[in-house]
Amino acid sequence: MTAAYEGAATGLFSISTLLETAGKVRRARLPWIPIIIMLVVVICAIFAPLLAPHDPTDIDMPNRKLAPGEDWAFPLGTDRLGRDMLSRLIYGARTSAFISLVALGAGAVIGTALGLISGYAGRWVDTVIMRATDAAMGFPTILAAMIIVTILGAGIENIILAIALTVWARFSRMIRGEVLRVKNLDFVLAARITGVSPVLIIWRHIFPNVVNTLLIILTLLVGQTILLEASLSFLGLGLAPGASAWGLMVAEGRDFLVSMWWLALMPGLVITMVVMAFNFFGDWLRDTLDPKLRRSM
Amino acid sequence: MVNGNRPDEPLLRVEDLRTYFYTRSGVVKAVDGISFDLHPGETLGIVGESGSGKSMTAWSILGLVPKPAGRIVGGRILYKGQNLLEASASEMRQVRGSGICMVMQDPLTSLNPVFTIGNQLIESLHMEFKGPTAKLRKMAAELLAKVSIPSPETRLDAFPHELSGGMRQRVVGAIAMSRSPNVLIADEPTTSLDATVQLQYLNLLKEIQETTGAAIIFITHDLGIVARMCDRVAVMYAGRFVEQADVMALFDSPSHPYTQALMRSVPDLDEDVSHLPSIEGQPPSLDDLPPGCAFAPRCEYASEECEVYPPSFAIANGHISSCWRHSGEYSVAD
Amino acid sequence: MARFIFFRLVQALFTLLALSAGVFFAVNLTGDVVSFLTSPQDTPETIALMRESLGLDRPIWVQYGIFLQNISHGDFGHSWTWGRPASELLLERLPNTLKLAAAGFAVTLILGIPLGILSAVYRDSVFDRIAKFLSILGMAAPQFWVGIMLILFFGAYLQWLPTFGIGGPSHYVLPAFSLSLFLIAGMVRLTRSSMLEVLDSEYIKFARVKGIHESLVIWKHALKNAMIPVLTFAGISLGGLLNGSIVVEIVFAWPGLGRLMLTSVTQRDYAVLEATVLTAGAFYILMAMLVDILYAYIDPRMREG
Repeated sequence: MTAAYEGAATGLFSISTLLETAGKVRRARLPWIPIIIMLVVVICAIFAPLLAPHDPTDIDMPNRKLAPGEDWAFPLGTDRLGRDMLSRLIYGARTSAFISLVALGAGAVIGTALGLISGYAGRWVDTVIMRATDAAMGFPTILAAMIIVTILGAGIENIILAIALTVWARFSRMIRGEVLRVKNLDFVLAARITGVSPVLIIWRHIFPNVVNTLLIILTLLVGQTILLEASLSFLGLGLAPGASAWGLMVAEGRDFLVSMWWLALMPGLVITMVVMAFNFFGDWLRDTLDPKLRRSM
Repeated sequence: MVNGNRPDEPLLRVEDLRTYFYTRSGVVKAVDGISFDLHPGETLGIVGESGSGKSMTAWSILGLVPKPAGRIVGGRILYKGQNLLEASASEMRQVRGSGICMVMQDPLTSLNPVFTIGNQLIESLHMEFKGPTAKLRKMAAELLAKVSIPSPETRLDAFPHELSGGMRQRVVGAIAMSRSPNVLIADEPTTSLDATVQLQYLNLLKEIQETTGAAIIFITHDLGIVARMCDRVAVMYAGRFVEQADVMALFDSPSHPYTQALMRSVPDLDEDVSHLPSIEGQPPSLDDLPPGCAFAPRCEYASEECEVYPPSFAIANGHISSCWRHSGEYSVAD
Repeated sequence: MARFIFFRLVQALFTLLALSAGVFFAVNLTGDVVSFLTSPQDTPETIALMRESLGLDRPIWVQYGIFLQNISHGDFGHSWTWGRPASELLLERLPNTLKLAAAGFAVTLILGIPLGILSAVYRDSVFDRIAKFLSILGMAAPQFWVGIMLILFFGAYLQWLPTFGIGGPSHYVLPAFSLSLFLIAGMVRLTRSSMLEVLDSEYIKFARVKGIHESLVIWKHALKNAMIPVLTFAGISLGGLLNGSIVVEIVFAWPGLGRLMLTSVTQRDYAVLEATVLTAGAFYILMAMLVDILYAYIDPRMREG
């Protein structure tokens, strides 16, 4: 990173940081297809009631078991209770987006905070946090999420918490690495010498230099979070049956695999495409903003 | 061809070698018409700044130009009479290591970190001398002893990161010489070594040359090394040789403006200097070369005729220089 | 090297102990086991009796001590869902999961590493581009969905392969592939980039300068160095295998640890839950340790610490 951005950052987002990032993004070639898919997901999540042709919970027995394309009122078909697949998929975007984003956000906050503390404080604090990170990072995510859901009970908040607790470790390790890199730079040392409190130093000097990495990790993890949430809803942990969640829809479709193949195929296809888009975008963002990170991710 | 009064056939003859790189920002002419001869037992120095194309000359001779961007687009490389550019892949592989070999700048990265130095040394020996591993091990230990590595037997089982920089470079030298190649190319081998170690290493190279009779191409930017090691020198600038001469002739009467500028920029220990002279300007970017003489933008003698690339003029026997300033006194070399 | 192994072993044991404590306290401090087993009609005396018989009236530390002691004898408690000792269920199911995981791991290595190497060696060729696309796809497709689609295609339509339960080698094909697809994708990507990086290094150039045959350059000189990060990934992927097997076992009705785990979660069968989590955790810790040791063996620079 150039000197312009590692100079003293006087605000949370110094102008030079933003300008440099914007410049890099403008110069690189944008990956349009992933961006479009991501936007579609976001739009579906926010405007689901406006976009969905039907109410996803609407049981419509006369129109049940329609294959995709049979009746254009239900373009992607219906399930055995007559619920419209397209609407359920759109609302599923809302569920997945909500759970994934909140969980990821919570995990990011926890992980970043721990990473900042660990990197800055050093010594035994660092060791303890890092050992915990190693343990959390390696422990199988579905297993961990299952255990947490067992202990806390079912419910959407608990799924979010479970995912957050399995995801924070990714942040803390990388953020700590960045903190270590930044904390020995001159302007940080200068701040410490003049007696600025550690919290202020972290907030005003270290954090802005770490934001880039944070963004990259976030985008790279969205895909995995969606997959995790899909697996958990597939297993039936935490969501009410009949809710519109992609993983749950695949589970429901499993019982009618041959007769109504579209029930299981389409939600899974959607998950795959969405995760692909986010992964692709995350890779592109990382390569554009900081190719050095390629090694460690 | 410039070869002075040598009766024997050149071991290596390079004629008008051109190696270009095709990149998104244009064609980079890394090597743009190089010619020289190399005789057995001779040391040729190639001098120039970074980016002048010196290393790429070496890689071109070895046939290891990085593909797909790089390609040898013209010229001939005659090794023992055979044109290497027409050789098959397996023929080239046979030439490498036993005919022509190279020592690179950084000995740590030249050695594979996960294999012992014995392993890497024996690997070379095995290609030349078939035999049981025990015999090859003995040969390897002897080689290490020849390059003054203490306790060679035990050192065979050491890993590269366990040796010092000077020792590593000697090991690399041992590996390069293990098959007694006729031509050894040394690409800035002392740049990453301490000053004290440098001298030892140069002496070692000279010893090896005396015992094996190999010819050495010594690539460097250091005129001091050139004075110490080389019999003949070629000065390289922007992909071309601007001057070639016997080493004494070069230092006595540098004829090309660039050579003169290089000589001037090495301060004399006896004199008191207030500032170190340097050559004005920057070396040109190799994808954006002017049509004529590439040094003209920085040359104090530049004139209009420099917009056409000058031919090589024969300054003396075995001494050529490519500058229009010679056109009055000297005739064009063949 | 022996010292290194010893220290890693000790570390592993400590981690295991920490895990057991974690599991125990998490389970016992957050739910009242008894309330689950009893109904509102039971009198306080019955409840108290039940508590006593389960040893729940003792202080938590003592309970933990007893827990550890029991484990060392292989006693994980009694499962109230199946009515059998948890350890029995464990012993019954664990081998099946291990077999599936081993198959998945083997597939990952056999397909992933060579594909990655070839991708790097034939960089930017058609082969490389297909491999890259497939690996992006593989990392995005949910394992359960892949399994279900495979069942649909190979089981229902083509009828080539069995789609549920355990049995002969043909029973392993679909589950192992579903399990490993995600990992193969990651493995191909990582092997490719690791290989590309290695192929760019000076010692590879020197090997070519020495006149070594290109195939030796790749398979001896480059490979060993390229494998270093791949190994770490392999170690991490073992955790992923365990993760995935939960879901894959359910999709394919595979009688293994994963299904046991899910049922114990939904039924709140604490004995079985503790048993399975500890086993899974122990497995993971052991694998991590083995990978570290293998890592130190391959990269001599690591042996110092």
